[in-house]
Amino acid sequence: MLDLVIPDSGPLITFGLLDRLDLLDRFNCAIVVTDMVAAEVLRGPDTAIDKPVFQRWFAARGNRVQTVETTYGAMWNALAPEDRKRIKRLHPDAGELAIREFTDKLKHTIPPQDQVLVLFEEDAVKTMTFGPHVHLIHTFAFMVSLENLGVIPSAEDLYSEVLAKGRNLARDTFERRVVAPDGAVADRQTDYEAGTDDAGR
Amino acid sequence: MALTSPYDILHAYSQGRISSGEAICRLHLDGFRDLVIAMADAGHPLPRPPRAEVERQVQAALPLLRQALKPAESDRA
Repeated sequence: MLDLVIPDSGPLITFGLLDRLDLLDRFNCAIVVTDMVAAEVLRGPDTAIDKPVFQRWFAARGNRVQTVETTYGAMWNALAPEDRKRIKRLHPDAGELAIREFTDKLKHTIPPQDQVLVLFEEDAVKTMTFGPHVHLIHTFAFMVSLENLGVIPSAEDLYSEVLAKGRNLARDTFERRVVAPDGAVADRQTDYEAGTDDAGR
Repeated sequence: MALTSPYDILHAYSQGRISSGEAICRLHLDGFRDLVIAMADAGHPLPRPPRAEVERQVQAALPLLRQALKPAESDRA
């Protein structure tokens, strides 16, 4: 059996931005992620554009997505968002240490007869030992494989589309209208011309 | 080369000279998603492994993926 192991959030965020998580579903395999990866893609305000994409995907995959709990992940998820930002600044390698713990756990949880494909984007993954029967594949190389299998027409086009989606999200971040707690949508132009600064009203 | 500006940092990440974790930390971003958005907004191409490495990874993964590929009728509409 094939296990698709995703130790960092990069691949999921890439396919999530594209709204093409279905490409991971094209294979009969278990998908294994860490609790930190799951938390990163599922967090954020409900208005985050790609959050519903991940919520739908995790719900639809049921127990075919296995989330492996790590000590780092458990502690990380218990922290307030401000504490997470502070720790990230002080300890930029915290994510890497969590991946190392994840790889150690995998050696004991994945059946030895299974074939493992590690889908990654974080360079540090290349320096880690995942055990026997393991092949590493970067997101772009995974897309090239999909092209070779006839699943997508072009890996280059799909990889380029990530930036196009990112540009739209960047614009959306600044152009999205503010919604006040009472649900009213702000109209900054009218507010400006009216001489008010009560955004959200 | 010193990474003194957001451009330097994003450019270094784009060229694979620094990791995503380091870029996120130096730019005080909230995670990988924000890094992709920053790359897109500033017009930097996303990093990718060297061609030979991509070919090696694809050759190793293809037999496994081919064996696990579901029939085409489950294609996305």
